Amino acid sequence: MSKHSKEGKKFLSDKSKASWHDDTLWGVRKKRDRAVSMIDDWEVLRERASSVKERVLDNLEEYILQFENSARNNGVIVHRAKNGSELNSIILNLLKSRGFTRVVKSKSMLTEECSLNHFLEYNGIEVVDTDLGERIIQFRGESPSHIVLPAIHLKREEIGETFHNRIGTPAGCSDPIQLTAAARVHLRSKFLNAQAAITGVNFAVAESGTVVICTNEGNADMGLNASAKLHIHCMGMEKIVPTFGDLAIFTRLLARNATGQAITTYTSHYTLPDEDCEMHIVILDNGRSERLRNPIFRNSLKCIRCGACMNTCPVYRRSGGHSYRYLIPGPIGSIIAPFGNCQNVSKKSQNNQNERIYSDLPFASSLCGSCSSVCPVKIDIHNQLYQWRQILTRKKQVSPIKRVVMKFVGKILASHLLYSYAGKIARLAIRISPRVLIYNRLNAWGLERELPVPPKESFNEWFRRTQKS
Amino acid sequence: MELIEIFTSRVNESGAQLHIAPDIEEAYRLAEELVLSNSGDGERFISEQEYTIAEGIYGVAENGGIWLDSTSVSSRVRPFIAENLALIISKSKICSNMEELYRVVSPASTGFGVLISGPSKTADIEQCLVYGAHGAIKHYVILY
Ligand code: SF4
Repeated sequence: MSKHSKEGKKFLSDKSKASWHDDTLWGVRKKRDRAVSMIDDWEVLRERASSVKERVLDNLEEYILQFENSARNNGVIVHRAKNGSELNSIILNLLKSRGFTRVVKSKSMLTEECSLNHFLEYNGIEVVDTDLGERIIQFRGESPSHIVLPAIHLKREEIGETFHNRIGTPAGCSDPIQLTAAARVHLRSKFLNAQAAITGVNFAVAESGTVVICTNEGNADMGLNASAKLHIHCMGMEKIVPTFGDLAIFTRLLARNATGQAITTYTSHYTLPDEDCEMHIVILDNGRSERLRNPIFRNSLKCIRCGACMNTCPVYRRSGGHSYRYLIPGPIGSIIAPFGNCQNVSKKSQNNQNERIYSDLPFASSLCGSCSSVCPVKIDIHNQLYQWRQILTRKKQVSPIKRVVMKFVGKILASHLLYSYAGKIARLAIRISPRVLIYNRLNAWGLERELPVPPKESFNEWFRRTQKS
Repeated sequence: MELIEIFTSRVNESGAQLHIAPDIEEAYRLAEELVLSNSGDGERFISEQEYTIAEGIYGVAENGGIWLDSTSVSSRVRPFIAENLALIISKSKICSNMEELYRVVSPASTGFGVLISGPSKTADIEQCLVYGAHGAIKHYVILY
């Protein structure tokens, strides 16, 4: 059984929680469908979004230079980081040289990718994640299980207990309104005492050097504007959009596709540093250039992190984000994970290592294609998963049994005669074999699947028979 | 006229309270009345009684959002820190969607701009929608 299957099994052992997870995310998917249906030209919009992203990826370095120039002209200091450790030390130096020790953070997926929190804490800096969901998992020492809904794996009682232990809410209190109220008070004191604010970035506009941040809570804006004097925006290099006209496409798409809202509560555009404040932007590579050069997987850089492919994925919904063991779970995460961008490992061994560690993820999919059909930037997600399977199998990163079986099945499928003969045998065998032959502990395949009742004849046989009569 | 109808229904969906005023003076008067009358409500969250009233530059029909920039508020934190937020917007300043918005507002020129749609919200606890995660708990839109 693969690592993902094992973790998925653990997740499914709490039946009511697992079915809540499944239903809730499907509910988000349905809200998305409603919001999408309100836009007449949705498909046109998706096509435009996709082509803008293609254009950006085709000319990425030029657009980054344009963005850097515009931002510098605005009085913003731009840094580039090759990898996570570079980003971490840039940030630590900025904080240290100013003697700052209190940091509030928002939109943390990118800094999580670099393990910034651990690094700063190790160096004596207090880092507070301010998104409610992110704060909850920070308290619990967990990683997010969804890129938009980081604490979706938790029930209210678990959160109530965490808050009771960490911020002193009454024991047994699990009311979302009361817990949110307590978090508001707790985090407000952090905002009002912060010296520096670190944010992620949803979009970066090349023509003006603007960074755009979308949140529902307003935590990024509170972090930046309540008290912090040092503002650091961290972005992956693929976040660039050329113009505001292009940006409009994405601000129309993002929230509809993510949560089914017409737009996030706050869509904030920061261009010039505020009075008495410093504004820095760190542009991170961390393996992205390498993915950009890869003709098969380059498209995955179009991702705007809406999370829709997770909500719609029948495997994700029933196995939970943590079963993927990677920062970004679900279909898109399964494409990125084998590339990996762990730090402090030499490039070559790092890649092999990630391919090995996450070799099961491209197989954690039914290839139903639902992900690709909801993706707002038209990434061919299921096809990329399929491509990974080919590569990993060739590189012998899948289990030897699977390889032998696949080879055998491949031969059968390639031959007309063998195929119809095998079909006959299988239809008979499945009907007459005792269940134990398939559903035993030795056959991992049977643990994860239930065979359909086989038809008495194949389509070919049926066609020939009915044609005759 | 259709734009206004779409705008008002999106404003309602965003969790904001919509009010109509005959003119701008009346809009301000109403805004003040609303933010002050309700500021006690926030006790459940925090004892501060802050509120912000601001005039929006443009509204967006497609999503019910209202655009503010550095000229709309005395400091950038105002629209976010207030428990009660009232945004005033003229019926003549409603555009259809984001593409049009960015054409009419020159979004980078004042250094900071934000489109706000409804009160601050979170659903991070079991997907239950709660208003007032960090920013405004009550959000009023006064259309004149
Ligand atoms: S791959 Fe597409 S659907 Fe999935 S998170 Fe990225 S943009 Fe959204």
